[in-house]
Amino acid sequence: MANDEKELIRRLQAGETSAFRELVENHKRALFNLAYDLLGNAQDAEDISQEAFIKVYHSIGDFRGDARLGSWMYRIVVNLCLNRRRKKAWSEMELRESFEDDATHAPTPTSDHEANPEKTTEAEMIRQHLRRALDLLSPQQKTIFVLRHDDDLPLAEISKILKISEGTVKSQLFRALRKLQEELAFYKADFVA
Amino acid sequence: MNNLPCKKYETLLAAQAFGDLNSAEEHKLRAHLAECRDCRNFLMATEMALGKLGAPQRPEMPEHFWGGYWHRLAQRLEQEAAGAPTADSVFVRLREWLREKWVAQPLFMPLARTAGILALLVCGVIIGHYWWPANRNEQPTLVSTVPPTIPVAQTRAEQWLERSKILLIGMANEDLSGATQPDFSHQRQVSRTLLTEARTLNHELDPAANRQLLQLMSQLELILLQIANLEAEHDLSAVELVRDGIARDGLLLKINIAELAQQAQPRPVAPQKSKRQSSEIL
Ligand SMILES: [Zn+2]
Repeated sequence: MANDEKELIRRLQAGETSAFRELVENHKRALFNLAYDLLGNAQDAEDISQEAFIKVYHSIGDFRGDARLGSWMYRIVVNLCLNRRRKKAWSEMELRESFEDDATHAPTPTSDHEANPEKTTEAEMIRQHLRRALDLLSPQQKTIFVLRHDDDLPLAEISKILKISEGTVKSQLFRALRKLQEELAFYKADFVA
Repeated sequence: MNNLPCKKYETLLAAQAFGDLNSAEEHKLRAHLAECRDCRNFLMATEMALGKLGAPQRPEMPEHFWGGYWHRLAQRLEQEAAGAPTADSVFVRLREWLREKWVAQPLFMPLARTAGILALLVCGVIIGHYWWPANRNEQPTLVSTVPPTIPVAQTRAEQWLERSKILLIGMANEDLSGATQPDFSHQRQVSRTLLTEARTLNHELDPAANRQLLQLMSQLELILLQIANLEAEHDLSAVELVRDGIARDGLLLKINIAELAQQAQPRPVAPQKSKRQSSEIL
């Protein structure tokens, strides 16, 4: 661990507000971006990143320095995001069940109903579709994919953050890639042409 | 869809896709690729998918968002230290309480669930009326629908758009040159409510059938977040930024178009399982 970081941790553990502010200023964008990549919503991203800083503030005394401070904070953000997704999945399930009691299937909207011919290019449409397909992955798969692809973290770092083996990281990445390919296959006719 | 690649090479293929192979692994995989079409196809399709997916698109938060980040965090810490409840936390606590009840008493789940949903609905109506008194006449009143039903996501999305529009028009027309400084606390509160609702809608709306609506909503959410983060008063430069954003993105026009499109759509009755939907559409 770099000396600067050791010194910052020492100051944090001594309860120096200026050290906490320094930590926040240095990491706020990274934590916000990670939460945004995982949850896809700016308000949640601010909320989660702040919650993570609050957790750091309260538990810096327990930090033993066996990981980098950055990895530790990433881990906190990932856990908070997974919790939020679980809670959301739960409340969605409840609402959905209540809808399905008397649901009759509506006619499937076709692309003609896709409103105005706004300038959403086909590439952009596919990109958005693939982004949303990431939500169909298991929370762990999506997290691993986002950490590797969007945040460009090395496999070893991801394995530390999630406390799983590198082998598991790779096999989950494989499944995520398979999923993306399946989704892209819908467009096959277009990109073969 | 191509054939599946060889099981034995799955992890090597995944590592290769992200450039994570060491030279021995790379050598081994290359030898295999030379004689295995399925694995080659997998890598090609992966490359194409990652290419189409591209880099993550993150919102560009305005400078005053980052500038105020520490301040908002410090406020949160202070509130937490003082144990001050927020409107949000009351709501969250109510939900947590209901969940505990339901989990603890599986026998009564259907009854409790219905009661819980009704309770949440009633809370929503009360909170909605409290936070949105000025436009009460323009809202379809949930109270009047007896027995109460939760409007389908599509209908709620329309209402959400309409309320966002009213808010944005208000922001665009607020007189900033007057002698008295305008107070945006009501708008901030409404923005927060809309943002909270957007979170739920984002998860309920079928992404395949509502691509453009969701795209518009995410643009609107950025503006709403800016409004929600305005300083209570005297934040005129930030208000100008919000106005610029509304004008730059043509948001009011987009809302009008989206509303027309929504009205032309057949009503979906329930949230759909997105996978089958997307394959049918695409
Ligand atoms: Zn093979």
